[in-house]
Amino acid sequence: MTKKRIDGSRPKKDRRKYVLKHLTRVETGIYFFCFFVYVYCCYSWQLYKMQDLSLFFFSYDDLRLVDHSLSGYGAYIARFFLQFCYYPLCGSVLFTLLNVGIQQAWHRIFGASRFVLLAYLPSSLLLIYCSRLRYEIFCTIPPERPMEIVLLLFALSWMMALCVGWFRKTNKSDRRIAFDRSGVLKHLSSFFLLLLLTFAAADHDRNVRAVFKMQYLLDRHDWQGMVKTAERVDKPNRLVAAYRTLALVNTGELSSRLFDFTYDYPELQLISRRGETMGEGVIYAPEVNFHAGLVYASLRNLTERATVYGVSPYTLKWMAKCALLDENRPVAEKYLALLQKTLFYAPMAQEYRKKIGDMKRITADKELLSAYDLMPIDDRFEQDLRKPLFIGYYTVAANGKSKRSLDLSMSACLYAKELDAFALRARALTGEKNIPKHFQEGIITYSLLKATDFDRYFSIMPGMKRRAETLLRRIAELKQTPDKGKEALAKEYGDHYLYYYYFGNRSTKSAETQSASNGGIN
Amino acid sequence: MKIYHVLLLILCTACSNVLKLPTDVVKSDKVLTIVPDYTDLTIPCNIAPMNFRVDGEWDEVLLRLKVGDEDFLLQADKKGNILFDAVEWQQWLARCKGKNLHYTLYTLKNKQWTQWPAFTNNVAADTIDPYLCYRLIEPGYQLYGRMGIYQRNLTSFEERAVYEADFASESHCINCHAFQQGRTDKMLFHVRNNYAGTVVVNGGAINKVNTKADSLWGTAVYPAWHPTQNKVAFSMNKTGQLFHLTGEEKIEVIDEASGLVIYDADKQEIALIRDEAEVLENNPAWYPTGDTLCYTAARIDSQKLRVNPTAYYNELRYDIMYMPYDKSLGCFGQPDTLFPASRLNKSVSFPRISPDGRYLLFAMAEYGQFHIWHKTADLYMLDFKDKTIRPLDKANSTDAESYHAWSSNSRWIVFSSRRDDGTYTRPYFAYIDCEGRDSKAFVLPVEKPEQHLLNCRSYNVPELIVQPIVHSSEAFKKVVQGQQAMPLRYKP
Repeated sequence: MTKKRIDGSRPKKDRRKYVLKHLTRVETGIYFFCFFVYVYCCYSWQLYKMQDLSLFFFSYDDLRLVDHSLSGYGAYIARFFLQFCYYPLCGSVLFTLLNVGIQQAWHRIFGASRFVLLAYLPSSLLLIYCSRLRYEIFCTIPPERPMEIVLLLFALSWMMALCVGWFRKTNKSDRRIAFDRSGVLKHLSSFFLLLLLTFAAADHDRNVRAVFKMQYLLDRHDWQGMVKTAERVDKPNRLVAAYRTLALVNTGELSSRLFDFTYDYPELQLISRRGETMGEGVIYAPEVNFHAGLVYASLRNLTERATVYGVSPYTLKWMAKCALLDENRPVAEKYLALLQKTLFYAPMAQEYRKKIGDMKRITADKELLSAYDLMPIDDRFEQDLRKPLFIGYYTVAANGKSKRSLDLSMSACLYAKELDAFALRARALTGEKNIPKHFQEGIITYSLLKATDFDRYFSIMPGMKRRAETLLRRIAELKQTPDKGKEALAKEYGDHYLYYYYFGNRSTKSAETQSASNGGIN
Repeated sequence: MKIYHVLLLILCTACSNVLKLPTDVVKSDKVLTIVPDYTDLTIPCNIAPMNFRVDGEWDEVLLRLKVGDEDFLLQADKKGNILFDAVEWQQWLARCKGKNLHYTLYTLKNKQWTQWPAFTNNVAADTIDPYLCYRLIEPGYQLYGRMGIYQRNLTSFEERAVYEADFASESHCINCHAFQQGRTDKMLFHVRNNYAGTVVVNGGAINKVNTKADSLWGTAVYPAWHPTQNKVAFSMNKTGQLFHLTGEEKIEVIDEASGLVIYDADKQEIALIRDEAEVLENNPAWYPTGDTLCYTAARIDSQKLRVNPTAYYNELRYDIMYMPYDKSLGCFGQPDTLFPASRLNKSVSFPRISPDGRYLLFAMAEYGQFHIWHKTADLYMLDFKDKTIRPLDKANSTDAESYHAWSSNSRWIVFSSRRDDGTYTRPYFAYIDCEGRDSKAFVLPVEKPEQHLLNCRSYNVPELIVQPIVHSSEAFKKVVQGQQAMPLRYKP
């Protein structure tokens, strides 16, 4: 409201103060914009995943069960704020606002923007550190903890700012935020420094960020987006490949695009909150198993996670989907009732609740139908089918409910380099005209390696066999130096199954299999 | 003048809140579902208020409760929950010992009251042991994080953590809590993985012992306190798990090898009872007299089992065995078969003898021993008096019933059941009358009826105890996390 004098005239503006005030706003605006762009571009998917791992709903009972200590209430408040990261844009704005608050407090404490970079650093370093915590698959530190730290920093900064203001005992106008003329430049240079720092981070970080984004896209069924995200990663890891494969299963391109993607093959191990590796060799991404139709395996992965890290929206929504396909009404009701208490998952829960016990509605849902189609018919034990672990591995020897499960099974055979099992299934393709690319390559590979005329029963594209023969000859030539050979042939033949057969997926660690006798029981 | 207006308003408001039995009602002969199902039960005269929720969407719900000659009218909350006042509830139970509580429900929908068929609950004169001890854990399969052993006062809703493994400590599993005759001055539980050992409470002292003596191939697992001596019989198991891909069952737990050992808590010694290569011995249980040990045993082709457990799992069938025990010499006689379930193509687990020595309660299913994961598992009872075996038809359900325990007066049993949803086990109670007849089982009463629905943790190993555990969770934590497990001497 504009102040007026008693005589009705407006006060004369202090031109200097007016300019300073507005320039300070510009500086803050730039800070906000820079930090927002930084958070949104690099970490919004991570924030989304962190909220996905943190369950918050307000109820008297929940409040009563909160650990009645400072850290307990801190975690509760942090969980409340974290839930807004359900929308990456909203999460980024929230995170940025908190940081603008911190920056403003520091500005008040230190008087000028000479510590601009310091104001950026705590939250940025925290985000970079968080990407190392592997929230995309583990939950070694409670996901609300980073938000708790930011909130604490915010609170402490403002407490300090208020204290400093109080003890200075200066008049109000002197406590006004001083504008540093070089502030804008400092903000911009700090912003670019941060971007550089983030993008210069190890390949690992890029993989992690890609997985976060793919997990977000998975929740929105954006399969093409997932494939594109995976293919933008320079050195993708196994998890990126797994999510890409999951997307390919849903786009129907698995049998033509599975092997035109090379990736590193690190072992994955479940890590406890204390950072120690735990019993099971691999706790695979439950959603990957789910999309391979392995509902029981997925449910098991999820309950293991719930046991180790507690229940979260992530576990609840996937367990609910598993329960729907397993036709377990009370359990689906349980998970969805819990989800419905949350602020942002409630609409989804409401929608899924309508499907409980209604197979028509379940199969009308594309995602559920896809998994349902691939569910195995024959009961086997996971232990018999465990090695190697990846999407569809288990289906190598299990019959599925639809023709799609045969495709998945054949892809899995190729992936597992089980050529005999593949050939057995490939007989179903005799007489078919449009055999997918990798299946044709698999048939030729089988024929060449087993020296049979197996391929003559199939409709193979002209030139494909000659290309495979050339590749095989070159592989034989480079046999002495496999690493060199892998590199030399990658560009020309990297998308060929034979190339994958010789050079791909060659992890030597065998810790993934677990005998029936290993491990205790709960 | 104003004050009188206010008082008048208060009076009017108060009068309008007085509950009245609806007069213009339509009588329905259909069954109105209440959750949990607390209809037509026999309940202990000291149980906590059995709050329930009336299923469906109603504008108003009233309960007419007849206690002896008196009628009480209660109103459900907005969610349809009938929540009893704890003090009043206990008074009603005390007044109705050996008699019935009559419930009649009235619901209002679209300004029309409906009266539903009445049901009754019989209040038994026999009390139930006042405390229940159990473990709470998400129904995971192999891994563990947050879990705990808890003690619940059955006469109220008070629950206390006996010991909790939380995220802050090294990951460890706690299991198999056991008590001597339901007394808490002699109790134990195991700790696995980090801080491994068996925590033994012996009078006032808490100690952690390592039951894996050099001459034994495994650690102690399923415990059974001797009723009078300071000794515990344990099974010793080499356990593995198999995970189904589809079908009714989700998991198989099988032993590759198992045997029986006995631990002397006074001498800190452990001795082997039985460990035959071709026999899997398991689930020890003492007769109340303490002169006989009962257990389960399955004959196996150990070679076959080790080579291909997945093909052999459904051929494992356990019988109930027993062997005499000389209390003064501390030695066992030759075993004999008590119930050859394998001859019926069935398999038993967890034999538990009633404290009065008359009944043997056990779980029986098609195969195997970890029946809590078998949908066909039901509770059966052997009557030592007339040598008959029969299923607890009223207490059993179509889902798995397994881990079970007796109350100290032999009139109540508690057992784990997956009947609610096939996934989460909940403690159910059933009355066994003096003729051995069972009654319909009811789930552990909770303060808010939706608690069981929203609880994502299973209740494991429910054990009735006659007194609270006096040691604090901090005292247990100090021993679990701060004390090295004391090695035991092996007694050949």
